[in-house]
Amino acid sequence: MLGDLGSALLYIAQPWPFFFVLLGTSLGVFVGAVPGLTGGMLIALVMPLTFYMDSTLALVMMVAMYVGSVSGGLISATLLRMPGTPSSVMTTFDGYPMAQQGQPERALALGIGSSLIGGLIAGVVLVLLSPPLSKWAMTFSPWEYFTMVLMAIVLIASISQGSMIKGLIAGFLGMVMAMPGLNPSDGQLRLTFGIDAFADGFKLLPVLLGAFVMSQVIKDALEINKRPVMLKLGAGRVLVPLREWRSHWVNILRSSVIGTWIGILPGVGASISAMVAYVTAKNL
Amino acid sequence: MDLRRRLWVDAAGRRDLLLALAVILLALVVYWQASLLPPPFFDPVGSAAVPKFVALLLALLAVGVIVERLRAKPGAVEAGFAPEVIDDDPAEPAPWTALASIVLPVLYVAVMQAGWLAFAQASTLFVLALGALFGRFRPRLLLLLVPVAFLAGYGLDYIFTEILYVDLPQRSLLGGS
Repeated sequence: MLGDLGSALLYIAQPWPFFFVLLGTSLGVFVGAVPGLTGGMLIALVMPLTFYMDSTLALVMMVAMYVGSVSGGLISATLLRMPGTPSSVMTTFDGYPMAQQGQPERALALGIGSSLIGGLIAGVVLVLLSPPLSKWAMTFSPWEYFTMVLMAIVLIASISQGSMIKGLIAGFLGMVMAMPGLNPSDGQLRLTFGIDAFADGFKLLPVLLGAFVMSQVIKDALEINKRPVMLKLGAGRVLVPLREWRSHWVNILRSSVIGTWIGILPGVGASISAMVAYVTAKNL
Repeated sequence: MDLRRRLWVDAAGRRDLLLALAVILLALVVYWQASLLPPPFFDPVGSAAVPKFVALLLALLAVGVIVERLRAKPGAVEAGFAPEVIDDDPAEPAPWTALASIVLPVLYVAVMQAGWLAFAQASTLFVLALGALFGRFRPRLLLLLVPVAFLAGYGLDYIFTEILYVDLPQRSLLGGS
């Protein structure tokens, strides 16, 4: 396996594959930064183009697109309070206030840097431990998934410092949003109000757009008369000093482990792991 | 009288009361819809159990919000878990622009769904209308906006249909795109 890994690394270091990594990552970051567009959509869109490409190059480009899009979500989350991807919802809580306080480059640099470190750690763990971890993940039954959802609701309650009841209401409203459509256990339609379009249920992304993006657009439209604030940005401020990274290393390492651990579970993924990592960092 | 004063005079109380009432209304609708489902025929739980349970929990939590507000001191401000963005330059709000930012996207989707306009035409008009509205109809901006809107509408239509082979709404009362 290590031989294959070495040859793959050498392959990516060649000019042509490296160009496709750069191209895929750039496109992914761009698409991820646009609320409503995801890496999956980008991959589906470019699929016809890959028919004319070498299969290895196409795979390299598509993986780069996906990784870029997940990281790109933090750009709009930080600068506009509009999460580009479901996993960057948590970034809006601290990233946007930081940007508003005149530190957008620092917020972006910390976000992108942490994303890079987390991605590298997860990559190494997955390369080394994929077979046993995937076997373990496949043993998850409805009981374990129910426990995960219960844990998510407890987390929602724990981060709602203002009013725990309102936090729980938000969590259960999310559950109500997931209910319309076909019930997977017995194939019965429920909460569709006789509307055929509801039979497929509400997908996560449109609900997310409605909850986070539309609300922010309406808020911005309401404040359209406000004079925009011009910030002076410098390239030097993008580079976060090493001592600052050192002060965050425990948090980054812990969040990377949480992301890898929860991200490997089928059907749970990046959104819940981001929430767990954020709440842990906030509460510790 | 004291209840009314605590819930309605205070702005936070009014907001909480409206939230609680909206949640109770939603819970009632969910419960009513779930009770219309036929009984389970092969599994003991059935499709209605979880929606009914969640609806009951929501209603209880909404009552909890009202109780919490009644027990709070009037004018008490809740602490959020995320840092607040302090607005030191409040401007006059523009409610009509905010309303238009909801209505225009709905109209944009509706005209394509009804087949009245194709994607290219609908998108061009949408970008023009929203851009003009957000730009306060400034003439210089409108001059810039016209080519941008056409590029967005017809350019995206070309890229999606001719390069990426994605079907976009093409039927139009105006005779196709």
